[in-house]
Amino acid sequence: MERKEFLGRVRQAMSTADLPLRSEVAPGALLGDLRIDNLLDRFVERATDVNCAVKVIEATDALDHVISIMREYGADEYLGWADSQMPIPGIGAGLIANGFSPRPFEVPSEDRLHHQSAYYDLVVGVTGADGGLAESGSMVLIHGVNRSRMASLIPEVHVALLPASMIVESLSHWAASRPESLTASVNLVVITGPSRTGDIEMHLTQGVHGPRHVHVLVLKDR
Amino acid sequence: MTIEPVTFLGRVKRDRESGVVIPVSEAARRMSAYRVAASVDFPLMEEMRDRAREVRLHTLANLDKYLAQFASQVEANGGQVHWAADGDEANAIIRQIADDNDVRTVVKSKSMVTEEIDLNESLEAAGLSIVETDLGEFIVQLSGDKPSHIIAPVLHKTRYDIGELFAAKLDRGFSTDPAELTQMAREHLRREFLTADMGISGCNMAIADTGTVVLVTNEGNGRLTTTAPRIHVTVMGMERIVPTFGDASAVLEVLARAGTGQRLSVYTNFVSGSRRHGDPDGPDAFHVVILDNGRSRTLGGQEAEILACIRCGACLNICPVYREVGGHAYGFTYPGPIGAVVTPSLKGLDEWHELPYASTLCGACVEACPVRIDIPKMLLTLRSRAATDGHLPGWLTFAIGRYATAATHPRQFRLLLKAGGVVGSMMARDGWISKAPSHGANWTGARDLPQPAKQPFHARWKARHGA
Amino acid sequence: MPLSWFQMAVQLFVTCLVDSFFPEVGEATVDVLESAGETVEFPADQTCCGQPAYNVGLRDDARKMAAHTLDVLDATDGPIVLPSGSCTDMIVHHIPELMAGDPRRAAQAERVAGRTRELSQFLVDDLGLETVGPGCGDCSVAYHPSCHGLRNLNLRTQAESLLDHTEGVQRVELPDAENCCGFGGLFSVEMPEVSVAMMETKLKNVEASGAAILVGGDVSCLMHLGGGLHRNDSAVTVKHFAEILAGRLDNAHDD
Repeated sequence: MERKEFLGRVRQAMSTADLPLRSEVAPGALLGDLRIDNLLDRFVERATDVNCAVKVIEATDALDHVISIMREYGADEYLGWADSQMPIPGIGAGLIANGFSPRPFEVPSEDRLHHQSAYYDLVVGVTGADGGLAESGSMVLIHGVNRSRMASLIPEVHVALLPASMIVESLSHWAASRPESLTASVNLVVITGPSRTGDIEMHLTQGVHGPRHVHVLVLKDR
Repeated sequence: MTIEPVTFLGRVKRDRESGVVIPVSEAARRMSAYRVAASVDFPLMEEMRDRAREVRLHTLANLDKYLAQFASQVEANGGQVHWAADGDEANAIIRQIADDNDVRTVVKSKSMVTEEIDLNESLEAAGLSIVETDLGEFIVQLSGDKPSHIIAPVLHKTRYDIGELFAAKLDRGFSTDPAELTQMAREHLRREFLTADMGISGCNMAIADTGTVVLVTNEGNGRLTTTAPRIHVTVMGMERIVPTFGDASAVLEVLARAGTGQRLSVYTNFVSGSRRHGDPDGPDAFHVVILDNGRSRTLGGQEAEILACIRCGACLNICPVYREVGGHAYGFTYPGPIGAVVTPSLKGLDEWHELPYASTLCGACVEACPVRIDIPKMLLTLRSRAATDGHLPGWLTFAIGRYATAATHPRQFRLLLKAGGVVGSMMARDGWISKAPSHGANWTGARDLPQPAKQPFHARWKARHGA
Repeated sequence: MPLSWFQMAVQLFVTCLVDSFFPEVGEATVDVLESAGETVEFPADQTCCGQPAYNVGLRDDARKMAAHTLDVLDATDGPIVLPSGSCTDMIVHHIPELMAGDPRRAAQAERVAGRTRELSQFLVDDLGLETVGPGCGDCSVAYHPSCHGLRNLNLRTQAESLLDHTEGVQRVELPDAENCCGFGGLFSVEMPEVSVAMMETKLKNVEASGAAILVGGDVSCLMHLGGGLHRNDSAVTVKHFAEILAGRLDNAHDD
């Protein structure tokens, strides 16, 4: 069906629609009092609630923490965002200097299957996070150039570096204050804990398609 | 998707006898409890529900404008928009996209709307391999079954059923441990994800002013489906629109809380097109198929408000009828109270006139609905149309007609009560009737009926007060 | 509401089901209202509010019955009180909707709706009473809040509070109390399999509560549940809360 004809049918229907009273303008986000005294504390509490492993650390210790997580899982490779996209410099370089090797994150269109098949058994992904949502314990990741979507999606373990200063109250607050984050790239994802399912007898199981473990390293403000 | 046998009560009988209703009922209760706990935990729950409702109703009242804006924005972002009047048209469009792009394998993330239009059957008939990737839907597909709940499709299966299924179909040995079963599915499905040509997703909502599709999943299948294959096709019901990111946030704040009791689902994925120059990954092409399939008819009628539904499943979980009959009884993609309105409203009362009667009008659904849709009110308008169209049993229409006549003639009414007392006393023993004739047997099959009073209240009042 | 309204006699709308099957509940309602100091009048030409027809979709029949009900009630003054949440909901909410197309009837429906109260609502919210009447002596009861009163009239505490303030009444919690009992008007005979399944779920909770008497505010649900209890040879009996307040436990049903 053509667009014009389709929308004509919709318009026709709207003229007889039995709808309760409604606002004339789109109401937008609701920003009420969420009773949050301290954004960082609330974020840590809520991210822990959804089974993230959360640590609040000095930025200068970040590399050591990433390394220790990688060793915990016996990983010697990782898929990560480019160093330039991480909230602090030197993580990628530091990992390489410590003997870990980065997997290429570029998936060229002409050789997609070959590159993606190599992701099959990835253990660790390392990314930054562009925001934190205190109320739900979520992280916001804006994807784009040098920011692999797969890094937070395909490995068993996702390690994310989140600057404490980037934590806001809630998704509503993010949407209201950062509307441009949707148009900055073609993909933004809000991650709230490790991949999970309750599909089998409502038994909560982690790690269905996405990471089984999510480590959040919250970088303290200077 | 339709489910045999053809009558509601026939399906109820089958599913109650087989016992599949029991785990569904148990899970529904638990999910309801999670919803209540999550609502209490969130200080803005009631205000947010009002806001989300306002967003949905505002959108429906301006749907043409927002649909046009959304479509133009998707195109501006480099995506392609297709308009489908019905399921056949949508399926043909998707087959064409597959054909044009040499697609052989398809992965799908969970989507009600593609079940509504039987997309899988259509693609399989065209020779494509299509794999459901939501764990529940994957199990449904492997077993040739149908989902029984909109957000948890295999509540009706036990871990033993699933263990046997995987042992037979995945060749991975037998287990009844949900974690091990999940691991088997993970390993099996990631191969499918990483090599599929096309990913097909539904759409929880679409943001008009940015041309963004929002997908909410817990497992990550929504993200993989929209990231790994070279082509991403979103199929969306035309009512899934919200105006802005802010409006979307209000709906998202109540969606997971109402559905599973989570504050947010694990992955809220915002997709605004195919990969841009320099993006390391993501699909090369993005298509949106916007589907009517009866929705404009619904929008133009008395049940327009049902299109405000955000598909959380709260009304199923709380519904005392759903808890006794499970999801398959409703016969189509959308079960429970929402289905009792959506199905006849989308597909017509001729075939689906039983569903509006599959409710006691108890109102638990309105109380649970995050956007406060007045489902009982719509069941009543549907019943009124069903009655007008002659779908009520003749005996009932006749009986009610006679009762209405008596009730508008007080003397006749008093005689009727008196006669009832006399007849009742002939049938009763010790004040109870245990076997009533004719349609009364529908009552006395499993319940005794108290004997109608020999002296109705009218007569007693008269005896006491005169007049 | 002007004070004089409360000084007028109460108009009792007893409902067709009480009239025909449970006149003793009507008598208990009169007793309770009189103990509360009210004068009770009974408009003799009342019949049925039209709810059964309305709920199955036969709106013309429903409208006829509703119009008759409005004529009978609009000819009176003062509060209209019903021992039923469901029929009160019909008069307060649905009759005005049914009559929306006819300005004269609509105005009449609004007038009548504004005067109409469910019994516990009238006693607690309008009269401000804690409880009324002699009560039934020592008895253990569980309360089932019927759906239309609960959700459409917001009767969340009134009857329970009357019971709790009545000497001798021990109210025990009914698990899943707010879950519908499965009566649903003609649903009970159109879909008996489902109706009975819901009833059995409710009765399991009733038995689990340990109460000797299941109390409710709508005889329709009580007829359904009581019929199930009797069929199951249960020791539990059903009573309207007015019967508990009025102390009419051995109320003869068929005399």
